[in-house]
Amino acid sequence: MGLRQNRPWDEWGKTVSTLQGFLSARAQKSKYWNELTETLPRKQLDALHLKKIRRLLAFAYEHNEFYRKKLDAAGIKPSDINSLEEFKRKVPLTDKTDFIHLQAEQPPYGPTQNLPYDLIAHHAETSGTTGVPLAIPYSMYDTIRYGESWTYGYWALGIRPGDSFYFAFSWGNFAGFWSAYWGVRRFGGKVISGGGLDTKGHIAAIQRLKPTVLISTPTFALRMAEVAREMGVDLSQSSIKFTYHAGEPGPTALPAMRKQLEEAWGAKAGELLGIAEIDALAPGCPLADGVHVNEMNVFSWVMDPETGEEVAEGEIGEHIVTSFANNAQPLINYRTHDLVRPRNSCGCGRTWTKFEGSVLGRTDFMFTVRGTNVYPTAIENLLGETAGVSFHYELVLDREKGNDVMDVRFEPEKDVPQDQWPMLARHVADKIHKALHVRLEVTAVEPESLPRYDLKTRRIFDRRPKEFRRALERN
Amino acid sequence: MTIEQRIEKLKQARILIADAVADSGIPQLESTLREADMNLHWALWNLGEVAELRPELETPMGN
Repeated sequence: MGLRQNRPWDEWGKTVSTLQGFLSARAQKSKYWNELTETLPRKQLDALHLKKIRRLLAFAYEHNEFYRKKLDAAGIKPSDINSLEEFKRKVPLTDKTDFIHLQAEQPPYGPTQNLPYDLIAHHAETSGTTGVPLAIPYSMYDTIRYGESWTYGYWALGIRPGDSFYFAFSWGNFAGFWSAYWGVRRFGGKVISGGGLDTKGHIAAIQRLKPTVLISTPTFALRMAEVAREMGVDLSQSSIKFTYHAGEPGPTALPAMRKQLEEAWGAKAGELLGIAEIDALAPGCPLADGVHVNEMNVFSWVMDPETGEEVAEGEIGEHIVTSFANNAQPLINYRTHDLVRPRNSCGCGRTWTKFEGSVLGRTDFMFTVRGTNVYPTAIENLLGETAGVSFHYELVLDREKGNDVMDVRFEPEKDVPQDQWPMLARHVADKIHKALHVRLEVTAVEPESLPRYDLKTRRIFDRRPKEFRRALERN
Repeated sequence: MTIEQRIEKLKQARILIADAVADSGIPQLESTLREADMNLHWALWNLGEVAELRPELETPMGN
């Protein structure tokens, strides 16, 4: 039986949009999903964080062997923490490797599991690209909290509960867009699953079911647009009004990608920074130049990975998170290895800390050429804004004669004649040299020769010996 | 209504729900009201009221 065949989709959409998920007229006009908390002055936010952290530490110390041992080893008790400064300075950092080792010793979740097994409502895993996936338990309540982070982003971009969300996602064990789904449930929108379909199937489903929001990784959205063009379908004329992304650097981190996404889909593109084991922790800013940390769900600070000191506003450092959203497995002063640039204020009115450009790189992927730190996203942005260069590329890190080196391999757009590829590669190398003051090896490779991915696209390959990598690559 | 008044009403609602489910022995009722309590806890949290960290196990619906 067809889905509501007796009522045209456009008409159905119109009917639902007047209800907006049963929100009051006043709520519908709000700029914010929760103005009270999103605009709370810093002093009040910090007072709230301290209250939550003290409670979390006391709880973890009493119930969680892992954290009790950590604090005992550091010679501190939860009652010793009387300010956020003391928390940052005194409470030991934790890392994904801690949890992976504990899970290996005591599967499935290790001694950091915080709820009885019967109360774990959802099991997810990281993709395990480094060999060992991290198991992630969520309680029913965690899924509500986690989903809520997406709703802030949906609302800020202009998406409303009357919208319908198409999930170009395979619904596997990977946490990824499950949380986006929890978010839509929380938001009051309509879910349309694309599970089990191939790229052409997704395009046909979008044409048939007329969703208004696309949920996918950004590169897969571009891939869909590419395949649609080959099918003779112009997705900029489709029903999609918004595309929303996570999982890899997207339209906020890479403005050139935003341009391509918005042109290809005729839609507004948004992005959220999520980390599977923590939360969908930083929804996109409506100004499209960064993400705001959801300070109801997490406490964040930014650390110089070399000195361990907090960096000043505007300086790049490693993002350290304490989560209040994942109570099945609490994470306290957790190293994300993401490099971010924090800002304390934003033109959008939100007081929640902003990470300008979202994630700028990884502590493990940052490389140094003759004393200059280079972040892969800077190179990705330069590639993205160069005419003739497609979004299919690889950055290969290696070590030669005591120095970090990077090879850039890209596919030219299909309409660039082959005899012009070397010139285009030289042009890219010059552009990188001029902007970043480093000379990199740049090569144009045959179109369609680099691998395509449905979920996270792998673009950075680190072939440096282990001792030269900054930290464990995130799965 | 002030934020403080809203917070107070939400706290009262949690107590009412705990009373409504007490000794019912009805799985459907216990399950739906536990979810209602969770949402009330979440509403309180998002009004800046830091309550217990694991409402699944802690009062007033915890046992």
